[in-house]
Amino acid sequence: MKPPRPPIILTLVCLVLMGGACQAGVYVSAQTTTPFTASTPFSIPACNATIYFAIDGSYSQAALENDTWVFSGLVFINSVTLNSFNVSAQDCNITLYFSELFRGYLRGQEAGLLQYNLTGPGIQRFNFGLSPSFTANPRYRDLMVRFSSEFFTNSSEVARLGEGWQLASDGTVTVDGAVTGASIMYVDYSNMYKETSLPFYLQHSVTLTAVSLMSAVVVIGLVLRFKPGKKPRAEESR
Amino acid sequence: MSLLSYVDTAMILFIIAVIIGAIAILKLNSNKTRRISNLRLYIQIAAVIGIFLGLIIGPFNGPDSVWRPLGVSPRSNLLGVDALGSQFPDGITAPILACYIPNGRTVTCAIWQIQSYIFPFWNYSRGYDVFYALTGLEMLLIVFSSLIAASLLLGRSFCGWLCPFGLYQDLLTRLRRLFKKRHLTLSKKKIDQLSQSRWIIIAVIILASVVLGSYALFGFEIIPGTALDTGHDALHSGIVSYVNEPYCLVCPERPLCILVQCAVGSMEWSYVSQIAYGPFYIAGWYVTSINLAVLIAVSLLAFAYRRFWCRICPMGALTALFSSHRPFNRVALTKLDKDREKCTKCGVCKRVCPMDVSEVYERKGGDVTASNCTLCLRCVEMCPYKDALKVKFAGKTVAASKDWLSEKG
Repeated sequence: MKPPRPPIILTLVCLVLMGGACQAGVYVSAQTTTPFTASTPFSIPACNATIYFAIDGSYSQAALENDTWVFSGLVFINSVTLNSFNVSAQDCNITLYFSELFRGYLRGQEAGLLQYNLTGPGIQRFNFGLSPSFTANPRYRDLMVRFSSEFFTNSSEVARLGEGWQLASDGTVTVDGAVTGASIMYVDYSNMYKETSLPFYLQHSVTLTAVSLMSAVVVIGLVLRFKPGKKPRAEESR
Repeated sequence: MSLLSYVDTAMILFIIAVIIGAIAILKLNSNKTRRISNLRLYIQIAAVIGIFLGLIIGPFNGPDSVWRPLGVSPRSNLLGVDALGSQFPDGITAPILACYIPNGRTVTCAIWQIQSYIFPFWNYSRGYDVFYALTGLEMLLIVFSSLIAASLLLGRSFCGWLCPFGLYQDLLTRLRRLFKKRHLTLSKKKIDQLSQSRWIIIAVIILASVVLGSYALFGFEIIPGTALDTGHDALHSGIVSYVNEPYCLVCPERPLCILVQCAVGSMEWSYVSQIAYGPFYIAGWYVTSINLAVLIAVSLLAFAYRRFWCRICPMGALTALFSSHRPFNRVALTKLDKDREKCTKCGVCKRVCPMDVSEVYERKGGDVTASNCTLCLRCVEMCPYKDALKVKFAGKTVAASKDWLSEKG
């Protein structure tokens, strides 16, 4: 093998340096984040409510707008990330815990699980920043609310839409039936429906392949059976 | 993700190793009456490893799983989601009892698919945490097309050579032999009755799928309480009810799959064993008490009678329907062929058959592939007359009986 010539090495070095520079650029241009801890209160004085997160994390931006905390770039130490999250409460204190749903099993979909504890009777509102399709079409979503901060337990019942919780047209989930806590599971499938823009043969490629495969086998079977010069002998045995 | 990830590479190497091993068994095995049987056992074990690779490299592997370093499910990389997309994310339809849940959906039992697509996904192109871009009707078309193609290609050799539950029963047979106990034999009448019962089981499965899924199909419950999980905002029906797959509630294979999954640590036993809710039966997550009872009963029966479950297996019945019954038998490519001139009616084929198939012995000649025949080729292996029995694929002889008595001297 011929040893690499100096110009090639030089080019490679330049490429590596350029890559490093690009990476550095990313870090330089990244937004600064503000850390918070589990004891950091996010108060809403006008509504007599305070919001806490159960575990530490950070956010890019947070602001109280119209009695609603508007977060962007939320990152928790359990690796859960929410690009956009709005929360408000009324006459209660809530402690929120987000967890990753199905450990990345749902690929390409926005999915999450919010569990929260509650002190005091009141109303809670959450907006997870999901697509407009999430609200517009039930085919595009999974949304389950249980009035227990524990999820996947037999004691916690799934509440019907309208029985203690509502879904607004902007995707805001309003819970007014929780007593000690609740959990909200959501999956936004609208990304998956992008396939409908594909041409017919791609939208139905698996069906066409399966049917073609079966047809091919049948045709081969027929050709072999009725091949010229070959006498069918299936009925000989009876 | 690269096209050929290391998981794919491992799968390809695994397949190459299996082929080399199979050739070695054929070449090195000196016992002419055990050569095919040994090869079959080897293929069965290899198939189980291949099929259940999704167990240890499965979608449920979390960051804390000991198997996590191996990567994600091969379904993601090789066969399943990425290959079939959201059109058919459950994996390749296979006419074997390879349980949907634990195998990582590399391949999936066709019975599960038929039930599931009849019930929950009929007009609702999405299942529990799985998205389907197609309607249930179209997915049924895929399942039946795949099933018919597979059956026409290889017949019930799936039962004899690939099915994990077939291997389990064969191992029970070997265990019985260790105890030097002779197998029991069913009468011809009983065998026929069991064979007929397969069609009843299939009818019950389909009927039960429709009845239990009535809320999803017709908008009302035929049996009250079967539309569970009514709080599911998106579905308004029992999409995650535990009765939506009636056959899976009684399938003897499922507990085995789950137990193996627990054993390798990709599922927690506490999660499996907790009691789920249901108005007329008690069921746990994935494994029901009925599953366990059927498994115990079938294990005892399979210990006494060779391949007992295969005689009533609805999966085997479907494969047989599409390979050895009219009109499918006319175009089936894999056939057991008997030469009437060379057969002396010695009856060895009938005695050695683990399924007690009598057609090979009784029929005069030509295609003798029977509905119960799993194409294990034990008869071909044991027939002492050269070319009296042959297995043909697309008209070409793949294996033939040998004059092993005189060859032995």
